[in-house]
Amino acid sequence: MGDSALMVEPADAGAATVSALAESIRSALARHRAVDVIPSYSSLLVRYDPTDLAAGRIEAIVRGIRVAPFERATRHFLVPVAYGGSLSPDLDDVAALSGMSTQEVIHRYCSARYTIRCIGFSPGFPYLDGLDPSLHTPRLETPRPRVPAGSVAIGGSQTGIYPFETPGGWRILGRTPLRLFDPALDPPVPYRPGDTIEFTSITWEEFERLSGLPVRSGEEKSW
Amino acid sequence: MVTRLEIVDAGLRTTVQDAGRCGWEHLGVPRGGALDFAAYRWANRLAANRADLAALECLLAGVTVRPDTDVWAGVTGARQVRIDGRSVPAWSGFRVPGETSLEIQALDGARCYVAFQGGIAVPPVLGSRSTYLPAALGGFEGRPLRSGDLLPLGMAGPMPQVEILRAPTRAITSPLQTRFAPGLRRDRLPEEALSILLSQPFTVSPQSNEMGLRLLGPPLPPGAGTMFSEPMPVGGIQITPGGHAIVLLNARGTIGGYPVLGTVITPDTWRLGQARPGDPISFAAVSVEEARRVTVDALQDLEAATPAALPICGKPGKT
Repeated sequence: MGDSALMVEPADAGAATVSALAESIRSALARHRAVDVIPSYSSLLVRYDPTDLAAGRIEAIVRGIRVAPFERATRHFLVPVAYGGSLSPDLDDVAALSGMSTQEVIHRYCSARYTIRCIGFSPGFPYLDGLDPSLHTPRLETPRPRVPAGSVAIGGSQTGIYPFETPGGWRILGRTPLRLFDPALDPPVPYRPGDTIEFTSITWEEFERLSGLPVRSGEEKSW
Repeated sequence: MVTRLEIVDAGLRTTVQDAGRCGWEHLGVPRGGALDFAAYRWANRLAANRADLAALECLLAGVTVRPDTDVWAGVTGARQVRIDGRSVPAWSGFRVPGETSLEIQALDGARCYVAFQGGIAVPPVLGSRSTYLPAALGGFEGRPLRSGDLLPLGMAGPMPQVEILRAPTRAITSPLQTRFAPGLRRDRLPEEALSILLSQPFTVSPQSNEMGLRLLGPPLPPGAGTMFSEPMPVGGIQITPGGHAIVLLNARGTIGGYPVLGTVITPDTWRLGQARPGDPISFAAVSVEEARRVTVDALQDLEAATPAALPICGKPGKT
């Protein structure tokens, strides 16, 4: 991918493998400068400084890494989401396209346990696996210039949460009041690929009350 | 005593930028930083700084500032520079007396850089002082500067014992021929996409920003079907379903869902940071080997001319 980045596509491209491989590459290149390793679904990108490292050297290092089976304990996050009105601009369309009532869409969306595949696009944006096939909905033809912070949305078979106001082409179902990214915390994003997320429906009153609180791990409501 | 810099007129959009935020892209935090990396480093060099201190980046219009004590400044990317109305040469470093105004106007391209000896001393966030606007991260309160803001400057060494420091070359050239290495995802796009990109003229859309340079021109045939989102390289030329090309710049989304036709070579991404709305852009394909060679030469030349005390963008972040 150009002069300062290499794309790596492991043969076994499970989320756990890609994420673990990314961590191993990050450790192996820790002494080198200007390195970023970005895992995604089935591939990862290594950014490097070509005056410091040759592409061939990185290839040799990557080929030498044997990824151990994913052994890290995963954590679960319960994310409250309010629905309706201005918080849910595409809920009616998703319901129409799936042939369900909006209540049924919300029920199914909140019934699944999603696995975080990767984090990116914008700070803390979790790409989630496990969307009910009846809710798969194509992206918007033309992306919105501004998707409000906290929007939970569907893009094809993927779903995710927009932590910040950015452009975006996914269909917006509702909005979480929680803060997903905080540079003052270490790490600034509490979840990692492999962790799980579940959505739970809240009222607008609860939305107001929870506004700006940090997302926390746990099986039970933390609010 | 800390020198303070008053923003008298913030211009159109002025932000604090440095070499960028390394080691956080796996959490979706793009590296960001100064878009025209060469002009940014030269501004620091002219300000008698090591090349990685935080400076002002002004978009499309200039800026007027007033330090409260004498300070040495360096300016690149603008043709009109005045101290209390008196002209100083473009692309130079010079003393600004305390309580006088430094006025910068008439940009060479889309961005100019104004550095001060000691650097802009806003607190670093995740290892960088760069402003990343979508997340209100870094810089001065995470936002563009406003008139009346007071910025602290870092401790400065002795001022240069000369009247003026000059940059030997101007880094900005126009029109822009943009070199790119055709990429991994060519096979996801029709053959004609590459030939249209290479043969047709494009112009810069006013909707461009530091996330991406949007191009206006003949429609490019989009990829068929959908793909899973994947990591995006800086310089990547994305083809949208609507047939538009977007060249991804420093503050791009780290992961995206549109196929990338090729990747612009690093020094040409700096020049794209100087492209103004309406500017013509044409493309030329180079091999990955040539892209690497040209980039290594450009980075080594820049490092020799504008040394940094620390490796640029050298501290990996914690996971």
